[in-house]
Amino acid sequence: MIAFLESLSRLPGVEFVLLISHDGVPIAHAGGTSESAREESLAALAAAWLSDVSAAVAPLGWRAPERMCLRAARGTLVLRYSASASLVVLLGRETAPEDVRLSMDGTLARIERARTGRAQAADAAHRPDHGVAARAEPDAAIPYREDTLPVEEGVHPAAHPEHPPGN
Amino acid sequence: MNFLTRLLFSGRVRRARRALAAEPTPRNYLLLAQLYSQADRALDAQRVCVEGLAAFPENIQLSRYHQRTKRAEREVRLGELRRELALAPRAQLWRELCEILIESDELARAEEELSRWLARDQNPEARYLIARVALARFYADRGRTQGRAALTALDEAIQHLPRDLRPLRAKLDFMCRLGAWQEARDCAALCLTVEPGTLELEGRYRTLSARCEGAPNFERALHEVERSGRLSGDGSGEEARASAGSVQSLLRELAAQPDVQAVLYVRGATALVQGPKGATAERTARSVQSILGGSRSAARRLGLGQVFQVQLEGAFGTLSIAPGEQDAGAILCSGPLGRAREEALLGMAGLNAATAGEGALP
Repeated sequence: MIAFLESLSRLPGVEFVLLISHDGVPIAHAGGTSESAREESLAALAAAWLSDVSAAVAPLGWRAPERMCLRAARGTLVLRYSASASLVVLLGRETAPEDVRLSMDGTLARIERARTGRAQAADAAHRPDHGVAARAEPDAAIPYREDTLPVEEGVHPAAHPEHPPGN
Repeated sequence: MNFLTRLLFSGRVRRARRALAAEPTPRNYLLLAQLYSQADRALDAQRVCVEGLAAFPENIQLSRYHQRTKRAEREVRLGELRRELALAPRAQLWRELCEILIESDELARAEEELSRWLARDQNPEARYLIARVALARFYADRGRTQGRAALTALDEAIQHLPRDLRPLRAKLDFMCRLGAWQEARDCAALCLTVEPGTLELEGRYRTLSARCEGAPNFERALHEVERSGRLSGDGSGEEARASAGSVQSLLRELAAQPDVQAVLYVRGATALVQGPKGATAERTARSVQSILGGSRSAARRLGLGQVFQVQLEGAFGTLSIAPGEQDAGAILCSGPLGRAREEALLGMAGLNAATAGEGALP
């Protein structure tokens, strides 16, 4: 994930790149200093701004904006929204948001692909028919892992969980 | 400029003057001013702009061109001052240079020059100008950090210029605009010790003393200003500069374009809307005001300073908002915004036009 962000952070004029969840938790960041306080405050403030704007446009029947730019005296904040996360980029004074539009879209698409790819691979690996047959029930909202029972060396798992071996 | 070009321009200028005499329209004033500028006659260009603005005070293009000519003149003076400072640096020249930079809102450049001046000689005047830069930053950003920096710079300037009323008055205004009435009263008392018996200061001291009870302290007042973005006295005593008519014509012009869904001009609690009607217009205006408030607050908290533009893109199209000091222009279009519309939008911000009358929302 960080590798995707690093390519974006190397663009001229980009000061900080941050991937955040919709509730303002930082997922990954690249560029700038490694201050966790800054990362956390930027994530929280960007998510709060997205939430404010989404609430403001809701009476018009609009969904949350896909892209938001805030151009100000000391820099520009660009936020790109996707279904699973938001990509936040902080630009220097001289850089226009249009300069990073394509790169941001590309980075977010790669992140989404990586995420869905991983989820599908995990899903397919856990299907008994290796994902060939169609299942009756729909996929879960969040991919999950079915852990196998822990097996100690030389001890076989119990046939019934309510009757542990040795009892 | 060579002789041939000057000859060419003199002919064009003559024709433009004749056209203006025959038909004194804002366009003809603008054409003549532009020709004067191209012929390196900046003063004549300014004179034509002033004359044009006297006849058409609400013309935005003329007033913008007038500002540009003034800026060009300022740049010329800045160049002269820099050359002179390189040869024989002295306090008066530094002061003029820094004052020009502060007045034209080039605060970073002013700060650079002031640190150079301070490094050369520890002139107390430079400390006062540093305080003015810090104050300008605070009035633009209205953030807590800038406010504290302004107070520190002002205290330092007062310390270095103990018998000078200017830094004290600057601090007094700063405290009054914050709404920190106790500190403002103390500052007025200090001003009176420097200039005892000044009637205006005595009156101010009495007014401030009456307001002190229950007033927030400096930190609390600063926090409140950062939260709300409003200074004490904002929007009360300031007159609208442009009439509603000039803004409405601009709104109509923009709304006539095929992919434009709505154009808005928001000032305070009222708005002029072109495009949507009735309840939809009201909802759109309220949403724009709400987005603007949230974005200004976010920029202050992020330390980004004054907001120039907010742009949202989504299934609804593109909504671009250009905020001014007290007003904002907004445009909603189904396609991309485009350079021309962006410029028109930025021109709308800062007009401080009246919004009462037809089309205004309560």
